[in-house]
Amino acid sequence: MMQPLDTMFLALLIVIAVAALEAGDLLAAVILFGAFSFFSATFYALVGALDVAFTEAALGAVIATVFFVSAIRRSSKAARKRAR
Amino acid sequence: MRSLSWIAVLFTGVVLFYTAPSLPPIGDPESPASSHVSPYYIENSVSDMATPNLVTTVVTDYRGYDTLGETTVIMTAGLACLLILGFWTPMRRHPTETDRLSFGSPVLDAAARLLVPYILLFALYVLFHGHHSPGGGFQGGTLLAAGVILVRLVRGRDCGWGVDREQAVRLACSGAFLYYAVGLITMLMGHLFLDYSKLPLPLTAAMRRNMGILGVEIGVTVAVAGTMILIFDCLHATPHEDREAEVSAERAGAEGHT
Repeated sequence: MMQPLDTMFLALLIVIAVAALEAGDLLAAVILFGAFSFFSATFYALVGALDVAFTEAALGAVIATVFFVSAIRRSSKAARKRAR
Repeated sequence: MRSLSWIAVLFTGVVLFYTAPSLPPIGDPESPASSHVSPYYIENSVSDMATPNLVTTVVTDYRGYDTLGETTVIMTAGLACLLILGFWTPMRRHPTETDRLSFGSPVLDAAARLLVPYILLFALYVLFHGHHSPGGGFQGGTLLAAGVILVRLVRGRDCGWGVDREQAVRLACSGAFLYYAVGLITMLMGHLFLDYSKLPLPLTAAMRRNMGILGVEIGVTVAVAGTMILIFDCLHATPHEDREAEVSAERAGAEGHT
């Protein structure tokens, strides 16, 4: 059983994941990862797992993004270049 | 490395598309997930503990031991971050101008002032309304931490109601302890660990279990909020050597002005 909306969100998830991989900048990759979390939260809400969606939206899209940005801010320029 | 990541993403995507259609339809009584213990939960949750949100009852009462373990794992993760990252960053520091206004801008400041009270209020609503609607300890704790982190991002490290690294450790540990304490109280009353219906409260058995769930959820909230603030503090603090460079640059700037 597969709704067209579910298919759309799953395809969107893969597209965002690939875009995060191909982003030239670590900060852009982190923001795309936040978008990935947001859309997976929407997908969870669509299939009826509201509690999971809530946790994913709060933890994955907000807190994890802040942690990643803080980590990028602390990493050295050399490490940032190597990650590209 | 890049091609390896590509393979991982595409493989997971194909698996996702392959398995998602074979998930049982929502509410199918024949699906394996709803044919063993779920009927008991659905039939007895409201009469057992006066809580309409089945997810909350399963997470904190029927499967309370699992959540106890999860809370402990979260607290341990925060302490591990402190052990690894805290080594390079000072615990107590003398605040400088950059600390007080790290991202400082009037627009951000005004936006944060408007947002933060609502975030904190919503966090409490999510916690206390978790019995009736999606939400509960983990989400409420994350939102509380998000409010504090927003203040600290905009206003600098010395703001955020004085929740520094030490306070965050205390919060994380006392939250986990509160969960254990509820279980220990029921043990002291001579019953099973985490058997909320035996709590010494002048209420009906269902309401006692309801209150037990609430106590446990408050513990989870405090533990999660403390851990998130702790990890943020460890990641966000400036390492020793950068710190010295920052202070000396600031001094040079101040001398240049005078």
